Amino acid sequence: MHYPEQIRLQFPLLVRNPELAWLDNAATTQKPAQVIDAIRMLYESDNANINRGLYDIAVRATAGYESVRKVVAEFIGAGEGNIVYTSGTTGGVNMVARCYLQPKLKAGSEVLISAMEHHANLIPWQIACKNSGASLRVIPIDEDGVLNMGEFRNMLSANTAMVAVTHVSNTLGTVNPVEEIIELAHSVGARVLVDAAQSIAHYPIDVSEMNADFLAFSAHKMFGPTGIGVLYGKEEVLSEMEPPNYGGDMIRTVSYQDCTLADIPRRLEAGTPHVAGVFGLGEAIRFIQHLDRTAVRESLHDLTTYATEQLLGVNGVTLIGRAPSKSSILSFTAPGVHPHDMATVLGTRQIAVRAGHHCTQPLMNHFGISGTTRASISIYNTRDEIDRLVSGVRDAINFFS
Amino acid sequence: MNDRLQELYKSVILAHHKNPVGFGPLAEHVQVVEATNTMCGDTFRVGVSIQGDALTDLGFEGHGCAISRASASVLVKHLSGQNLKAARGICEEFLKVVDPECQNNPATSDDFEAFAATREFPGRHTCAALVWEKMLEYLIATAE
Repeated sequence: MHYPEQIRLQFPLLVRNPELAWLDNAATTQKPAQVIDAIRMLYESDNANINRGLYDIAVRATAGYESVRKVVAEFIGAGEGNIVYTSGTTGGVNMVARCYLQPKLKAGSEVLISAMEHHANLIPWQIACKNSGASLRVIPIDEDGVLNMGEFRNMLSANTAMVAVTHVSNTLGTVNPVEEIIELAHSVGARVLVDAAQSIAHYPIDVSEMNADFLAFSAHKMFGPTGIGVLYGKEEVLSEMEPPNYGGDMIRTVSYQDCTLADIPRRLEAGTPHVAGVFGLGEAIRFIQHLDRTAVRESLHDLTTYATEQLLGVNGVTLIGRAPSKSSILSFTAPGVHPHDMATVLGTRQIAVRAGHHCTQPLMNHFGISGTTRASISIYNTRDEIDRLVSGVRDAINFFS
Repeated sequence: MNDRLQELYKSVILAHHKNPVGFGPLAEHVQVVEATNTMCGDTFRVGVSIQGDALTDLGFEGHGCAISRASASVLVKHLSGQNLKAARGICEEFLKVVDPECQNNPATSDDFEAFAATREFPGRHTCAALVWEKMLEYLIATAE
């Protein structure tokens, strides 16, 4: 069983703010005490630059940093050498677009993305295409926010260089059939990047089973710290990647006129990395691994179903994103209430939701709206919080009508 | 609704939101001052003509939240017929009213006074200030 009230006690910010209903989990999750402690303990006991110090503390910092790579690798079914630390999902996607794909693109090449991509999985490809004369093509979705797989099949060709899709849409909650997408893309020789920012916290991910070429995610959406993330890549694609940065820690030998580069993944991680972030990420994964993930998913599904029913029971509320396979994200519009006004009203009641375009402006245009209010549910949310949300939405509609 | 919200959305703001002054498609001959809130993507287009030294044909179109819509409505109401210099002064006054850093509240009308409550909601400052900032930029550029 999963007990949100008990999980909540492990989150200091939520304990300090007992009235706070944190329903902005798609933006970032709160952090459990053990993650905060891991970061503090690093700075209090093991702080040193990694990879060079020969004293005990530096050895511990380096060992801890590298041991997390193993933790991450096991968490997603990868090898340690396939894990590149990044600043987050955005950092990972940009690295692939600029350092892997762009040098391979030529006029006539095509990059496919879905209509529901976050700007972070859109603009890097847009720029890579502009810089190389390639075309960016968009896989359409239907009115419920489901990817049109038939159209996707038609769009695939020998010209398709890359397919970049989100596993779970941050705006619609749609869960995309990434395994099928990957299989189809591979059949024409295209590479696939999966944006796992919204799925990593709650969905079991095994990259070897999924067969993704690249997969990117952020620690801060999975109970870890901000500023750190992971790019997984198959060996053959990582080894073809140009280093995003040159400098310390990514070389083997250096002369004034020449250098030989280190092996992957170190080659792709120049400079002193976010060591504390990595320690926090490792602890966040341990935290997740101690949860009963199946029970969590069932609980989230039940709570999302309940929230959907309750919200649709409010006169005029429309859900944006009604895919049959959906995560715990609810985007909605309310008659006569702009999302920002809705979020302000809910905010004064200690209900934190997101309002606006959620970094998916083209998607908002597709639905003919400027934005939505988004409630995103995680492991510490309760039925009581959903009731407060729904009553706030009802009152806001009355207030502005 | 609680007191903070009542204060924020006072009847003045709600009234302007529901029945905005000068809202509708802009006339073809007007100059257009565009105000896009990059946080939400909401955009208002304020139309204005300068006849001699006076601002005329003021109106606005576009979409946004209650505060931004009411703010544009109040702008149209208060700037119509003003000369360039007076209009600049009015813009500056409004921007002080909504400025959380401003110690005193110089509001000289109920319309402006109503927006002072946005100081308590830092996330909403842009909603209130944006069209006024863009109009002030336009007026300064026009005077030069």
